[in-house]
Amino acid sequence: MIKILFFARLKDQLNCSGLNLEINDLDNQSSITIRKLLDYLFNKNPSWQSTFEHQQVFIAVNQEIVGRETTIKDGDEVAFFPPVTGG
Amino acid sequence: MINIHIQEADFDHSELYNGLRSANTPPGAVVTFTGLVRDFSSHGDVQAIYLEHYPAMTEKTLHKIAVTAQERWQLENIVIVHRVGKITAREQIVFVGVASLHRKEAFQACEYIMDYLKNDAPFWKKEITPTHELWVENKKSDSEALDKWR
Repeated sequence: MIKILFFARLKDQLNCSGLNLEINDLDNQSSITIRKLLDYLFNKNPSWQSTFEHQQVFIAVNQEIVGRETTIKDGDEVAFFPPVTGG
Repeated sequence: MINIHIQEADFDHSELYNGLRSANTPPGAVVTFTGLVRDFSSHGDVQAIYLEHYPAMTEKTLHKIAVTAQERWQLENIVIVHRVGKITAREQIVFVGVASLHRKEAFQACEYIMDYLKNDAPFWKKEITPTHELWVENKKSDSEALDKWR
């Protein structure tokens, strides 16, 4: 299972705080890239694509910032969020 | 020693300061920074802010920033406290305190930790005004602040 999380403005825009996916739902391989994961999500939820494309979205895999070509596998936690504004 | 706290409750500045002073090697300098909620923004009067975070990543990121500061300067103690949830205007949001043998290290490390916290720690602020709630945009000046540490 892959745990997917959305935070802050992105969570509000998608009206979704997260979801769980089985890696077999995504591809017939044991690992896929973030880019492919996003293609899958956009395919399931067509309105999400423009939400992602109209702003800067950071990606973290297992709480480390990564890029879209990073490969994920079963058990990973993938988070998507806007630029941070703490402090 | 590194101490990191993410909490809804307010914090006691003097208690944190006294904690920073106690170290195996008594420090010669303590520098602290406290961030407060402003009661105005470009959108008008701010009554409160709501602070969301990514719990699993927040503490990990702050710890990594503190460790990097410790590698860069000789520091005795580092304390980082960041509040989450709803915080009323003029209240305290964040505390960064650094104890060191010398003031220069303490000043620099405190600013370094705050600069990286602003850019890397997964917190998001939403402003609550009498008429609306708006997610705060990140500032270019915050990312440019990192240039001096590279």
